[in-house]
Amino acid sequence: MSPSVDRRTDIGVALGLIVICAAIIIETLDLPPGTFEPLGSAPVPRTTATIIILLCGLVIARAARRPASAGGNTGESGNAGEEGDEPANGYGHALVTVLLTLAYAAAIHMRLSTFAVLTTLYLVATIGWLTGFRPRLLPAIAVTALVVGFGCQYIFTRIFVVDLPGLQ
Amino acid sequence: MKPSMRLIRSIATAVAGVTALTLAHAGALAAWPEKPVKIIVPFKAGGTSDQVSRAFQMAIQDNELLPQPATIVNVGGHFSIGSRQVMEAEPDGYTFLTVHIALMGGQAGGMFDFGYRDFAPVAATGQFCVLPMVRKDSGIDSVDQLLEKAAAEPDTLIFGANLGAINHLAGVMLQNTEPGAKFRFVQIGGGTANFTALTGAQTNATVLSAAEVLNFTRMPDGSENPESQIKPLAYTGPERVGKLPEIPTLKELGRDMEFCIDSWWFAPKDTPQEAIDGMADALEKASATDAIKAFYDSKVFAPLFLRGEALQESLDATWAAIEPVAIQASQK
Amino acid sequence: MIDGLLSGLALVFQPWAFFLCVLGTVLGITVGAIPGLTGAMLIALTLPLTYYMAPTEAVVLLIAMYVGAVTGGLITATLLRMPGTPSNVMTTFDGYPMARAGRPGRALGLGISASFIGGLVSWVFLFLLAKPLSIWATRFGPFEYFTLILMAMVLIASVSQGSLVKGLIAGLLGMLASMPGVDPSAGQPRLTFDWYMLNGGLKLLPVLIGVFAVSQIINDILELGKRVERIEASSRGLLMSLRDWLRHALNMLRSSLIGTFVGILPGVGASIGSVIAYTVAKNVSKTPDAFGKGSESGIVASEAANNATVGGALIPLIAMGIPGSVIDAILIGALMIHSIQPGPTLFLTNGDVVWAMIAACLVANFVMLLVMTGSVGWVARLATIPRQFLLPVIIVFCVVGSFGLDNTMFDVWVMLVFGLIGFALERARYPLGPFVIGFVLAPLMEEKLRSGLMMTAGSITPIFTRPVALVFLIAAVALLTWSLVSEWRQRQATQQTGKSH
Repeated sequence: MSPSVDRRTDIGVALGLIVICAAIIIETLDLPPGTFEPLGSAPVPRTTATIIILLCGLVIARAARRPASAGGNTGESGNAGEEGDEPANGYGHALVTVLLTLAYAAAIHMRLSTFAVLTTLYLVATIGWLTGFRPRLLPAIAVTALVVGFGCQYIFTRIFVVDLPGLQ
Repeated sequence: MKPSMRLIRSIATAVAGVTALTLAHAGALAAWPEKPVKIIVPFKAGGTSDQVSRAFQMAIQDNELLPQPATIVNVGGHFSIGSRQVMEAEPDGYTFLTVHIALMGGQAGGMFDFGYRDFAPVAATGQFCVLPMVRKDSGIDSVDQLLEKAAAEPDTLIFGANLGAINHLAGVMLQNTEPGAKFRFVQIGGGTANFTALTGAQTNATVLSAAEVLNFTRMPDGSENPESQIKPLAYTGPERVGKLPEIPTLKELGRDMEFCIDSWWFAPKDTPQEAIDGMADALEKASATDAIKAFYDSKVFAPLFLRGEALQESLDATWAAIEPVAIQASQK
Repeated sequence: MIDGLLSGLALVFQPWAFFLCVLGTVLGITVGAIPGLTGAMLIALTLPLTYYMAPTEAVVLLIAMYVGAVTGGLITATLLRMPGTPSNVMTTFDGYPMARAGRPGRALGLGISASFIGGLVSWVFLFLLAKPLSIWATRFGPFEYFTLILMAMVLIASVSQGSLVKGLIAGLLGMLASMPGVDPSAGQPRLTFDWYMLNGGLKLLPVLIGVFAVSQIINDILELGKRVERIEASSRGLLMSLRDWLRHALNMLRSSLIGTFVGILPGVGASIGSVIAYTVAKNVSKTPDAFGKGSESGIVASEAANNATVGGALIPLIAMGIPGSVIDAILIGALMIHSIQPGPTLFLTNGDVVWAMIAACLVANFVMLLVMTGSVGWVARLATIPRQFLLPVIIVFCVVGSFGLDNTMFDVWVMLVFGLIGFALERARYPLGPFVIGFVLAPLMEEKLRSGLMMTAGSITPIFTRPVALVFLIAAVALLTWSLVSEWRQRQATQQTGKSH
């Protein structure tokens, strides 16, 4: 309805979707035709992806037609709106959290250490970063991290049997 | 000479002992199992394979048949994922897989490129068979009538199945017992979905397991449920089922077909024999416990147990029977 | 049916189940009250744990959470002008002004009472309609299901906030995301990019946790620096007098009925129910100007309707296996974990589970009323837990939850990737509701269409000759046309005004 997303985001996301859909269409090409009915496995994903590409084209066309200045902060209130209110370090915080989370998942994947240790380290790093490592908060951070880390490991390997990297 | 002989003999014994010790240590199998054993179930929790594995896990634990705990790990998604994980796992004697005939169906149907020969077989425990089902108001009262109709009007009787899965293979095998018979197979899903579709007259026939038949067509006391609109025609097992005594087997009806699903336990290829034997021992002892007997009874399983040579023969025979059917099923 | 209900109640009142019911309601209220955490997130994260419960216990816990989460959000909506969940947005318009005007207790009291009535009214419909509807639905063949789902997809895309085109794209993307793996119809692996882990496809749970929890957390972190003006809760005016009840009775009933009906519509949930009831209440009000400035009727309409959608949405879930809301889509996942296929024969195959669900829905409403009245001030304080601490801990739960279901790291990566995708989509104003509904419904839709084609040997004529299928199809086409035309008109109008400036 109202053009409340800035033009670059709109076009960027739509282009990204087009690339994904194109890859999917290519992947459907070598699927065999159906044996039990005329459709087979390929047409449904192919049609879906094609319609998305067409609709994304529409989104891009609309975004391109409106003046660049019309984007930005004209949005109604909502989760993604009110960019103007964000503190400048919001993006930094989010980016570092995402990176730390990816590193955490990779560490669990490679079973570098036990789940409890990895979780504790992750929580100390992330909460610490988000609170600016204020010395006053460090004890609270350490306690939270240890309780969650070792608590989770206990609950999820002893009570609920989950195949987390644990002590063996 | 005598003392030297004795010396040599004692040295030999010592060497042999040390060698044995070292060897045993190298294989870390001096006393298998030294750590918890992981049983991978390549299906979601709650399914039949999961229930079988968990029943055995409990029986092993409660009767202390293994000195270490056995833990069940469900790997969901398609069953080929969990199976492949076990195939590629370290053959250290601590990873096992429970799976069934679907492994052969998938390989023969060309869904994936590995099969039972890529594992070390451990045991087969328990067996259930299926029953062809039709609606009570269908006018069909026997397997002969069903198949004669399928032969007279080929490709019109709608057979509900999960394409490529157990009930599909059973349907193909069934139609093969009557020359010219041909069902129209339609994707419906598993037991519950087929029960729904048959009740709603979306389909004309399907197969259900004995436990499903009891659940869907009988009252808790075993008498017929008057609200149920479907009925079984025959049983695909070698003998009649105690809880459905009036249902004949296909063999009795003169049709050479047996279709039963065993729970197979596999280990990665090259797993040390000690571990395979140890696990098979534990499973064999567990099979004899009251808990497992009660479990078999409630699930209407036959109390089968196979290991070693007998297991290998049974696997090869099943493959010989199922491969052509699976290929036929994948080509309609 | 009374027997069924009694057996369900007996199940819920067993000590352990009742404890789960209370626990679920309390957790739901708590999570609902913390802005940034939603009921969908809580239920998605709880799902892996229900694995270790009996199916009846699992549904009791999840339904209680559902009821609690829809209600809890009104606390922060009223006191902090932050809707605890998206369905409480309308409540902020009147609740917050009223609380600022010095009557926070009264505002909360109205919201709680309305929520309770909304829950009860919709429960009556759930109790009366679920079984007859499910009996009717056994006659649905593949083509009926296919057209019904088609209609649901169009509906959710067209009523979701924002542009229709983006709603459609989101829904279609959800469908697409459900397609890799072994196809639901012929068992043929597809879109796996020759990677065997993708044979199992992308599972609902990690996708859900990613799209709802992780993307929300990233958003929350972006907004960490925001300050909110807090109003202390007071219990003065929390209990309504008989005169109040009478005065608001009509509005409560009307809004509850609207909420129930909106809930029944597949795919549309609490947020929309509350918006419609609020708009209707405003239109029929003698004092429409008071709406948005602390109107009692506004709070009542919004809260009665959003709670009423809970019972309403469970009706198609139980009767047809079609989720009435996003949370219902997760409930379907919970049932499937226990190998229970929701659908017309659920009453026959798993009667105990259905009746436990229906009974839990009733009991949870009473528990909710008690807990909310008793602990409103305390819960409001929870909203002030520093989120720098809370958010990373929730990420840990997301990781464990995704991993725990199937014990593979693959799911954790799927969860993280979909968190980023969800975040990007939301930034570009794509609604996430249609995405999840599309994800859940697409496999069913494709399977039904192709099963239908197998039955008829390739002909689609039954879509036009079977009356129920035809009605659904016409409804779908009409809905789509209507939303396209109205959006086009709106664009024309905005362009006109744009030019005249």
